[in-house]
Amino acid sequence: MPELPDPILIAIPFFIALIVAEMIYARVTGKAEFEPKDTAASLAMGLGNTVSGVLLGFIALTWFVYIERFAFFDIGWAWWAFVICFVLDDFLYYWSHRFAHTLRWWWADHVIHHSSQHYNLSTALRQPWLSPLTFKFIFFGSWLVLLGFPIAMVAFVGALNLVYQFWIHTETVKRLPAPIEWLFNTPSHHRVHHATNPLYLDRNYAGVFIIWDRMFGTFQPELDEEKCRYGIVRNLGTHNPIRICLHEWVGIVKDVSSAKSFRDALGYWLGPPGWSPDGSRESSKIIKARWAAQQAALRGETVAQEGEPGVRPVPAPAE
Amino acid sequence: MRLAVKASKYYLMDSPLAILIVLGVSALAIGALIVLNRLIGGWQDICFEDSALPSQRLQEDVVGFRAGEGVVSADGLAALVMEQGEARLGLVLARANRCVTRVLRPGEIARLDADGTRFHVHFNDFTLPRVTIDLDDSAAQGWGERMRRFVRQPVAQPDGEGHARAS
Repeated sequence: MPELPDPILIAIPFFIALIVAEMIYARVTGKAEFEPKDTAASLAMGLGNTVSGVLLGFIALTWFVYIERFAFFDIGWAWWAFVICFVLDDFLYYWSHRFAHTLRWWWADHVIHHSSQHYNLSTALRQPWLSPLTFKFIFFGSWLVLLGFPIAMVAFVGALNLVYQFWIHTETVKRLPAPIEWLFNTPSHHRVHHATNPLYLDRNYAGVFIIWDRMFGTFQPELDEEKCRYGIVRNLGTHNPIRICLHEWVGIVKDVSSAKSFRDALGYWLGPPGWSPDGSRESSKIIKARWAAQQAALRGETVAQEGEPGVRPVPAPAE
Repeated sequence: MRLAVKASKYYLMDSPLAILIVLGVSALAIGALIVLNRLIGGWQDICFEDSALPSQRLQEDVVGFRAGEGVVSADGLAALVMEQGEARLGLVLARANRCVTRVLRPGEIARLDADGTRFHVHFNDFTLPRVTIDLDDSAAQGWGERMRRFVRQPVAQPDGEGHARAS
């Protein structure tokens, strides 16, 4: 087994340098915004994520070591294996990420990354603390090990994927040349992913290659006339890292404990975020449907409604 | 046990000292970044002058919310906006250079304490458990009455945290 470096450890000094650079650039040009309490919360979540990786990482690792014996092939360490592993890992990342937005149990973990109303490089580091306890790695992390890719290789390409995703959390880069925007996840595509505008909700799940979104119907380009508003649909009223970390878990526990039936409890736990038995809460599907109806109505009466703040028609969603 | 030992060889950073150094340096770097952020500035704290901005934020954040009459707290950091038709009450809080919005249906205020023109509004909300709103004398009575209509009645069914919202 070759000695592989930890890409994230190597990248940390560059992360810090780039955040400083973006902070100064933001101040000079006004193209981005940092606010100290938000920055502190994001970076504290990043540090906590590192600590939890050390403390809880063994859970996933033990699982992968256990299933390694059932691998179909022994793929080994050829250079092409790294390339294939990287692409397949990114494909699995797309689905893992998509499910993180559609299953509340996994959303409770992932929502932390979306909980800032700012979008800058510090937001990239706003990461959850309890991921291994969601056992998502069993469903999405096992495939490559079972195919026969070495565990260290899977961990290596996974870390490269995460390092790539750091730089796309910025408002300072508007659009890149068309071929890059077509193939790769870029700041523009990822801004859409972090936006709460109904048009942008639950779009652009890609890690490195945006082609997965194009293939599976979840791609949405950023529109100049629809400026991104960042955060979550119900933004948090706190910068306290503990509350940021736990808020959706607390919500699940309260909802499940007050459920009137087993089916309702299951829905609150494993249903989509915003699910409720009577549909009185707002899942992204409901929000998008309501918004689409509103847009359709507005297109029929744009003259009367267009000047009203917060209510204006935008082009129909791209397919 | 053998499994755990085998797994431990994959830990790229298996020295406790190395871990402590990385964490210590990271904590220092975070502190330095926050100080730098504070020193160079670049953000503008929001302070509501009237209910125009809070109304706009509510209409952006909540599809279908049609803002009606509104009031701003004495410190300009909170605003209440009634929905047209008065079915829902919008609450907007200025938090540095961003806003936090809530649209309340009847029963969503867990408790409301009035102290003259100052209102302490309690929610069943883990990230926003309590909000204090100071209103002018002229606005306090009317808006106090309006808020009371959204206070949970003792017999109401528990409705959970209500945090599950997709993004």
